[in-house]
Amino acid sequence: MIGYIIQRLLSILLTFGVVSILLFMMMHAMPGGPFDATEMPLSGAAKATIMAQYGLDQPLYVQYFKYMQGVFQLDFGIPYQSPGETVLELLGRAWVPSLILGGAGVLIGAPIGIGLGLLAALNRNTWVDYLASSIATLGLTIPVFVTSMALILVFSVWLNWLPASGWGEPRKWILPIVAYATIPMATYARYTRSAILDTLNKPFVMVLRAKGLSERKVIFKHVLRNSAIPMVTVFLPMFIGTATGSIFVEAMFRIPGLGAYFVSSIVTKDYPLEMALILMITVMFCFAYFLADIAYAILNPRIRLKEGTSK
Amino acid sequence: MMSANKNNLYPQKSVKKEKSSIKSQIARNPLYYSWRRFCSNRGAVFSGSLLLIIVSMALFAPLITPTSYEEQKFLTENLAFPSAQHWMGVDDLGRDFYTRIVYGARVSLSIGFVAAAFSVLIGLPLGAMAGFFGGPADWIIMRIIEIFSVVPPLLVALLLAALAGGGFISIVFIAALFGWVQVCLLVRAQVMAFRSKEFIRAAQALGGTPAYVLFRHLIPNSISPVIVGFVQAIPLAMMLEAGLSFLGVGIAPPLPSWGQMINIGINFMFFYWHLALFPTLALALTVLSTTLFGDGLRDALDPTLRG
Amino acid sequence: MIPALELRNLSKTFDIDGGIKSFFGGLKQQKTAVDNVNIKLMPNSVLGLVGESGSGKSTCGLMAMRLLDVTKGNIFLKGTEITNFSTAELKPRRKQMQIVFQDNYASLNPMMTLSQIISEPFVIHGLHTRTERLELVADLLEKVGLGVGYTNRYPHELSGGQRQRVSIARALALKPDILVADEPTSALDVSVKAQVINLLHDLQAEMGLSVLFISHELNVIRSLADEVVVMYRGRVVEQAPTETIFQDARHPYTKELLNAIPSFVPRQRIRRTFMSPLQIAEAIPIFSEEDILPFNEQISSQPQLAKISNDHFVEAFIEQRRTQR
Repeated sequence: MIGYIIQRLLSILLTFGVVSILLFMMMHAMPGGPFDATEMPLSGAAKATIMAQYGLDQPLYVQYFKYMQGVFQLDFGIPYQSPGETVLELLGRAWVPSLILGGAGVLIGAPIGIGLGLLAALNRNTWVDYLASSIATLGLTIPVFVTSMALILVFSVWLNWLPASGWGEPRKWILPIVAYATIPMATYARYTRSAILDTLNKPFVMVLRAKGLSERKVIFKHVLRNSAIPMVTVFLPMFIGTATGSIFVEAMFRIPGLGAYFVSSIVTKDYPLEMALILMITVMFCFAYFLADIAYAILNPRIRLKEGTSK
Repeated sequence: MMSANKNNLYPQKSVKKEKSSIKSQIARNPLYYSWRRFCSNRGAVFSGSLLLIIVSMALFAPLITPTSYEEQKFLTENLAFPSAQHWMGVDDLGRDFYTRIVYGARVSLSIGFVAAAFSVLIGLPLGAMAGFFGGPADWIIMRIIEIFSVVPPLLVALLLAALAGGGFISIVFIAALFGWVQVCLLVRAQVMAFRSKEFIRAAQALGGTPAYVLFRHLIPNSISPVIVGFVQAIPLAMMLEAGLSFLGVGIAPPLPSWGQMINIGINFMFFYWHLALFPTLALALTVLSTTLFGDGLRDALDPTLRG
Repeated sequence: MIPALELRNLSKTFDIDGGIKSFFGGLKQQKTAVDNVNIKLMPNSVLGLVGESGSGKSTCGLMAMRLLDVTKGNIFLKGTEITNFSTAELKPRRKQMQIVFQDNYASLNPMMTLSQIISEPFVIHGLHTRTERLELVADLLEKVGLGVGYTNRYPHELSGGQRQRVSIARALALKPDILVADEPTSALDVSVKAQVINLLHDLQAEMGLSVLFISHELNVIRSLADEVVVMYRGRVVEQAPTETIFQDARHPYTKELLNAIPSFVPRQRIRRTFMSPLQIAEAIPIFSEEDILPFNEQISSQPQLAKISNDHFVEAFIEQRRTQR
């Protein structure tokens, strides 16, 4: 078991290392730094000073190592677009709306999704199933900015019930959170439905019913527990995935969250901010996958007890 | 040493010849049954038909639209709502909106198909190699896949799109870059499942080399995952393109893209909501129909691929 | 007479490791599937290889076909050692030995017609023209009892017994001298079993095949094999002509297997209990050196094969001749 954990850890670290190098190189391949002639024409000397100040004049690999050094100390540098604060501070500000959006979205969407999936699975092939599955499919296939647009059109433009943008008061939060919640809801509905259906088809459920166990107990005590494994392992990466899915919602509703800053950092070629964001999210994904793997290994006794396979 | 007559339990009967009722039976390739399964799935058939309509509209775009997509002919009727002359109204630059929407279909669908094709081109050989050779080859390919999984695809796509400056070809490549993983995984799983089956062993026992086995047996039996992977990659590519265009780093105007049009539509949505509505509907319908069609195809070809 | 197929001191160990874990120096456990097995398959005869699941008999068969790599030992095909032959060197020799598997459905490529399946051997070795191939396929189908009308069928349209016949037809296409049959009837119903066994019997007589028949069913073996080798946990524990095994088995495991055959006469049914490995190990016969025929190069304290008559070998403890004072 320990061996497996160490194995996964090393593997994830390797992946992370490769990714960080690739990202770093990509970032610096972007034509035109932030101090390009067109944006902010500077004289040669002034430009050189600023480059030196930001450390942009040194060879790439030196820059990389210095940067990674900083990263491990949580120092991401200073964003070009607002030099008054560090990247960390800026992100600290931006973090909050995204967290609320994502957190609320998942917390609302997941239970609804699980409920839908459960309903669909238990009433397989009836209209309940079709309805629930359709909702889930719609949620997954229609891109989130399309749903946001649809929501805005219906509730803001035509019905005029809710505001369409901004982030000041909680009232403004409703639409974005609903728009956002469709993703976890749909994903969970799908997973839950297929996981429960798979379990229901297993012979042991038939045995339980034959023993005379009430349907209620069969479902809640046995089926759910068995279906929990895939759901649990998918939870963490999805939670992290909120960070990226939120980009569209934030753009749609003009919310000053991480996603919005990311888009602006791309446009302004703000290296420190971009790198920091991508790295952070990559780290979170790595961590999430790692935890999910471990959780799966722990929960699934078949993997836990069998240390390896013979050829 | 002749084998003696061993007749303890099995009396020596001569081998019975099986009656061959050739006349009433036609040989049925396994794929034929998949076709039947597909046809019985009403949702899939419906989506498929819808998709066919959309594709036809895209193909015959010049024939069914009054003007070209960039002619700003109707500036006097700017932002007009749908009418008999302009089925979807006029956009903010005086262009017939219906035309723009139809040509937008061309852009989305072509990006979808081409990106999906590239995804298969990359994913199929990698998946086959990973599944067949296992060991170190598999490990490396799985690591590569892991790299592509932990990086948030959208963010990096944004980065790459900004780097490349948008444009049709770069978007296609970016979409393919993130689409091959799914195909690769599907093919790998299929090849691994078949690798230990006895007919592969039999082929080896007959004297087949690994290359022969791979090309004659494993890859033909992987058609299902490849088709499924291809068809499922299309909506993913389309959504990526729409997303990138929406954020401003995708297809540049005047070439119409639904994502781009939605972005513009936001600015006008409170009054001229038709500019936001139609691209939204178009995108939603197309993605929905391709996804459902893909799911139906998957269920028909191999229900075990689900999830 | 040179044996058609000879396995000499054959051993196979599997490494159990977690893939990349061993790369980082993880634990490497080993499982010995086959331990020092010696088998001589004579031309134009049937040798039955018997044992329960996990005894290593299938592994032996696969190694004999060079489908699995050998850990230790040698394989001789008609006198030529093929243990370390490369794929290229093996290819021409593959025409001389073929295999039929237990899982008849997985043995056939579901996307190929029977005609394609049976002519695959010709395709691989580049033999015969198209028309010749079609004729040969038709002949083979007749030979195994399926009519010509089956040529364009697909495997999923056949029953288990019919698929097994197809596997046999494919195996015989190249007219091999040796046929390894790995539990070909274990997955079939009793009546179909009978048909396939009769088929194999007829074909063996007709083509002079040397058959290595691997099975766990003793009654099947009895009706087909000339000689029987009993395997237990990777080792050969008894070897003798068929009737000798059935009438004069000496090893406790063989006796257990014989007792386990279901009886058709109710009155003769006995209550069966199966001995644990420990009990079997304790019941191994002990012979003193004088009683047995000279055979072993070296007498060890571990159980080893002892020759108790011209063609009967049993695994036993051999007590060394007491040296004269």
